[in-house]
Amino acid sequence: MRNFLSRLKTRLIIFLVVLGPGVITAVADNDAGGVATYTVAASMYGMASQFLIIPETLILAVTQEIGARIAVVTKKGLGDLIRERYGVKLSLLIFILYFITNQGVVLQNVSGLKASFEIFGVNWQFFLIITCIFLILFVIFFNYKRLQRIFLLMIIFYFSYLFSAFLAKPNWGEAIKESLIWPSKINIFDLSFWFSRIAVLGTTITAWGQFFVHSYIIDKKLDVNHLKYERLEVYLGAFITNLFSWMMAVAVTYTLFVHGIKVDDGFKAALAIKPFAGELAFVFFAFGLFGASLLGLTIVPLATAYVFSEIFGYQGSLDSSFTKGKLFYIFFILQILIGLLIALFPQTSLFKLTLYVDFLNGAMLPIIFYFLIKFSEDPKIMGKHTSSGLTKILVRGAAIIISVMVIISFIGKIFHLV
Amino acid sequence: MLYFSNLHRKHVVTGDGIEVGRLDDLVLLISSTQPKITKLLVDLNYGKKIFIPINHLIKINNEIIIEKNFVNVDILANEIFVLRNILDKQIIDLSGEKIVRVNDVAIQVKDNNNFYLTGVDIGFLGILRRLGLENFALKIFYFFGIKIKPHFLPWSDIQPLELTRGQVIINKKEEKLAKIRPEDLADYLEKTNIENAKKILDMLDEKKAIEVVSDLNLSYQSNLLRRLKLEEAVKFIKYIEPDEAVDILLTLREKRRQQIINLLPPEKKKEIVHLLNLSSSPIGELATTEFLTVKPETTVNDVIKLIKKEAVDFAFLTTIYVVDESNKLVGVFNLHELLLQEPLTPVYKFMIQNLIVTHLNTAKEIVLKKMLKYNIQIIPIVDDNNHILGVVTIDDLSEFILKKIL
Repeated sequence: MRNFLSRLKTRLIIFLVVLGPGVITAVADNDAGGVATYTVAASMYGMASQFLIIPETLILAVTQEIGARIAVVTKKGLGDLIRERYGVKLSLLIFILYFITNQGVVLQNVSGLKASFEIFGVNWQFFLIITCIFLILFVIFFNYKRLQRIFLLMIIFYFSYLFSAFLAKPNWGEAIKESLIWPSKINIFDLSFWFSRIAVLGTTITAWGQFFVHSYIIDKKLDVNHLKYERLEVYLGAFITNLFSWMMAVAVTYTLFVHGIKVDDGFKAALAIKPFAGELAFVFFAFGLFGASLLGLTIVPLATAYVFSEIFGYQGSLDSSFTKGKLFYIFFILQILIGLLIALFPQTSLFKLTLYVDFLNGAMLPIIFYFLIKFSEDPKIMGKHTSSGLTKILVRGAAIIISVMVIISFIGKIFHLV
Repeated sequence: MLYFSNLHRKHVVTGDGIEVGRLDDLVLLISSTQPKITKLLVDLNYGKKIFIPINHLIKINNEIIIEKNFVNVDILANEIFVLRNILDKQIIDLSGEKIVRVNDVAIQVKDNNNFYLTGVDIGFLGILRRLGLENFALKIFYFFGIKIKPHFLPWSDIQPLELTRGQVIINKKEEKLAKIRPEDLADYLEKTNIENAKKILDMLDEKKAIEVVSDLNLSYQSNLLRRLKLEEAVKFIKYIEPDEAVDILLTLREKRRQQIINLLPPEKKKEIVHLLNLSSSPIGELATTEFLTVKPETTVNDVIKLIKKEAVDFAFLTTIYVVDESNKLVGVFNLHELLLQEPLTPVYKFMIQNLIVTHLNTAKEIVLKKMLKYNIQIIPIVDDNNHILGVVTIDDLSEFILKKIL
């Protein structure tokens, strides 16, 4: 028994050492854009907006695991592998698409931050600029370990969604039945419901998330011996992030949906919650939005900077100094500055922009899955860690489902079916 | 200079115009001096790939022309690929820092269709070239008056053995990195090769060592001779062509020269002493200063403008020399080669880096011999630092020889 306990202890310690990349990436998938999509969907369809969340979690877990596995085994980023195997032309094209997509996501997060400042009723221009400056300084001067601790701490912000869910006094039984078993409150054959459902999936599984988990694991310098634990960590991340989004949906459903109030962004959702769940729930919700935007605003530009360094072969690590990793940090700063500048202009239509971002993200996902499958099944790259039978089928299935869904989703958006 | 990206996927045809396939990759023999390209990997149009030895290559222009009776051979254990093992790979310095990726690979053609890998392009122009945008970008930069040049890492900085393990590791720290300009690439390689050559001489048998030394430029051979032990120096003088040997000996100090000569076998000694005596009539007397030099990044357009401006009074102009920032001779091209180029091409792209030069106190007979051997009409005279002092034309020389005979 004691033996068992001490073994458990060592395992737990190793797990804590490994903890980081999987959880951070997965949780950051619920960034400002994610929060907006979940709340809008929940205000329209209630807990049914989370229907099929279990298979969704599985898809996220499988796709992130494959990236994590390639990263741990090869110690090479997705960008590295694409450049080395497919040359300059293709990798440059992918980088340009990727940069634009991520720029859009960054902008969504800057707007999320702006919205949360507006909710708190402070001078948003001032706080937005200050936040961005601090964020840049933190990333430049802190090393990997310290930054990771900050990222993990930022996840605490998401717990505020748990509180606001409880404060909404939900009917838990019904919530579980609607989302995990079968939705009865809405017409399941309603086409626009499905478009909305796919949009939720699209914000959970992202192009940058696939690249980031890869690069971030490499920067952590994990060993092949840690593979087992890293896999567990990725699964944990997929579970946590979807638990958060489920709770978000609960908070919105039992305040807005049951009263028939439809909102079209996260900002309005927070304001609308106030009369039903009280001041506290409102504050929690706003905090959640703030944390989600902040995490997204840090992780997504980092994801861009990592891939740039990988493709062009520059030193790109949170552990390197500014002079060593100049280009890495410049790309990080560049994306934040562009986002900031656009957000400071009051006339930008964020709705249109979100549409294009989602399209680009959707267009990139099938390409990324192609590479992931290709690399993970190549024994020259993976050695004995190539994907085995079940994973092969699961990943292919996931790739096909997501690809089809993003295409359908975009067609829906074009013809204003949502 | 050639770039791999310019050769990749080029059509390979036989001398009588029959299409064989496309160039897929180049094979090179790993060595720490100058790695020689040994084989072409040709993608036959039905998907099969074959290795064709480089000595079946006739020439490269718009297409790669090979002999009709080409053969298919196997790759050797100590041979690697340019595309598969070098291009696009990550370059890491000694301390493990990532520096950049290999954007392109520079290949140099030397006498008798020998192709050598001289360095890797790590600059932005390398990426543009791969994208097929180099000329377009150069035009735009030219329009704005910006001169942009490629940056290279010389081959001598790369650890060749690591390449077989799929890594490009350089034997320096990033801060000490010599980022070389194209015109200096060959020069730098030769220079560091003296160290390499010395190392190899210690390890290899005589025959192989001589081969390495004959690979080096004349001025570097003399440089090497200065640093070797006396017995070793004698050994090399023994094997190097007598007129070249004299050239080298003349660059050494009187005392050392005598020491080496005294240790030579009698027959060789006689020959060399005879040639040395000729040097009482050094070439310097015949030199003229009617020559033009340009910088490597000068465009064809500007060279032509310069000729119109500067060479009005010249009696003879066939060749233009290229000097780098420290005024060292780095390249040469003739008017024919100039006229074949596009107006905006910088000269470093087509100049010949493998220069035939002579020294002030070389004997006229030896210079004439050399010019006839390499079939050139004009030869530059350089000092020990490779600064050009003047030129001698074959006309001047033959006049002198004629006088002597009559």
